[in-house]
Amino acid sequence: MRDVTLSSLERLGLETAGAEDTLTFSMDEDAFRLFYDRTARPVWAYLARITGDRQLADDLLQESYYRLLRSRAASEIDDEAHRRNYLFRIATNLAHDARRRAPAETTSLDDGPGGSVHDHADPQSAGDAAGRAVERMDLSRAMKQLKPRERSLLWLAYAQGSTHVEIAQTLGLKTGSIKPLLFRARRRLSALLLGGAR
Amino acid sequence: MNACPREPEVIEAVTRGEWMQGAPGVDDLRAHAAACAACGELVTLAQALREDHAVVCRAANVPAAGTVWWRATIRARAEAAEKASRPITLAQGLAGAAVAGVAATFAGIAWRLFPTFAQPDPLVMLALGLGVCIVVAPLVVVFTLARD
Repeated sequence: MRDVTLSSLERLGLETAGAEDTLTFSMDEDAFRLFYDRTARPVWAYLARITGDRQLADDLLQESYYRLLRSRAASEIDDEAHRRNYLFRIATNLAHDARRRAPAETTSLDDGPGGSVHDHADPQSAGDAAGRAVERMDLSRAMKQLKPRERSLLWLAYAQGSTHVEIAQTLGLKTGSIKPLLFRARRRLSALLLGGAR
Repeated sequence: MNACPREPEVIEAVTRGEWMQGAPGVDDLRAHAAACAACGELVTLAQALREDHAVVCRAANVPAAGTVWWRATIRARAEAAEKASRPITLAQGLAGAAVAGVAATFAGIAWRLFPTFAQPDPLVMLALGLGVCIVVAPLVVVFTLARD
C-alpha cells in the first residue's frame, strides 16, 4: 500500500476545502463524546477480559470505536442501547480476529499497574483486599482457560448484566441458544475454580 | 446439576446489586439459593464477575474521547487520501508498463536490424545503456516525487 504522508494529508485537506465534510462518521463529535464516556470503560474491561491482554485491549478499543464511527449500519441506529450492542459486537469480532492472528497472550491483565494492587492502611481491610485479589487472580486464570466464546458469554451475562437478547446480538448467536451455552460455560468456570482451589 | 427455573430472578437481583442490600423479595431468593446448588453456584460466580468488572473498569486507563475522535479523523483523512490517489497510482503503473513495452519492442527491432548485437560492440552497449538510463531516470524521479 502506498504511504500517505502528512504533507499529502494537508494537501488533501486544502484541496477539499473543509475536509470534515468528506469524513462520513456515524455520529457527530458531541454525540460521540457522550457515547464514548459512557461506554469506553466497560468495552475496555470486556476486551481486556476476553483477550487477557491489556495492550491488545487498548488497541482494540481504539479500533472498535473507529469501525463504529465509519460504519454505515451504525449511522442508522438511533437507540443508544442498540449502538452499544453493535459496539460490543465489533469489539468481539476484533478480539476473535486478533486471537486468530496471534494466539499467544502477552501482557496479562493482572500484571500491570491497577490490575490487582490496592492500597489499604487498615490491616484487616488489607487482608480482605488481599483475599479478594487472590480470588480475582484465580478468576482471571480460570477465565483464560475457557473458550473465547465462553468468556464472552459469562462476562456479558454476569459482569455486565446483559440480557439473552443483547448477548445474542453481540455474539451473533440465536437467542434460544444462549441459555444452554451460558449454563455450560458456567459449569466449566465453576469446575476450573474449584479445581484451582483444591 | 440441572439449571433452576429461578435463575433469571437470582441473576437479576445480583446484577441490580440488590443481593447484598437486602432489597424486598431478596430474602426469599437468598433462602432458595442457599438450598439450590445451581442458584448458589450462579450467585457465587456472578458476584465474583461483577466485582471483577468493577475493579477492571476502575483500572481501565482509556484515552480521552477527544483523542479518540482526533485519531479517527486523521485516519479517515488518510484513508480518503489513499483512496483518492489510487487511480493516479494505477495510471502511473500503466504508464510504466507501456514504457517498458515500447522499450522492449524497440530492443527487439534493434536486435533484428543490428545482428552485431550477438557479438556486442562496446560502443553500441554504451549507447544502449545510456538509452535505458534516459528512459528509466524520469520514471525514478516521478515515483520518488510521488511518495513525497
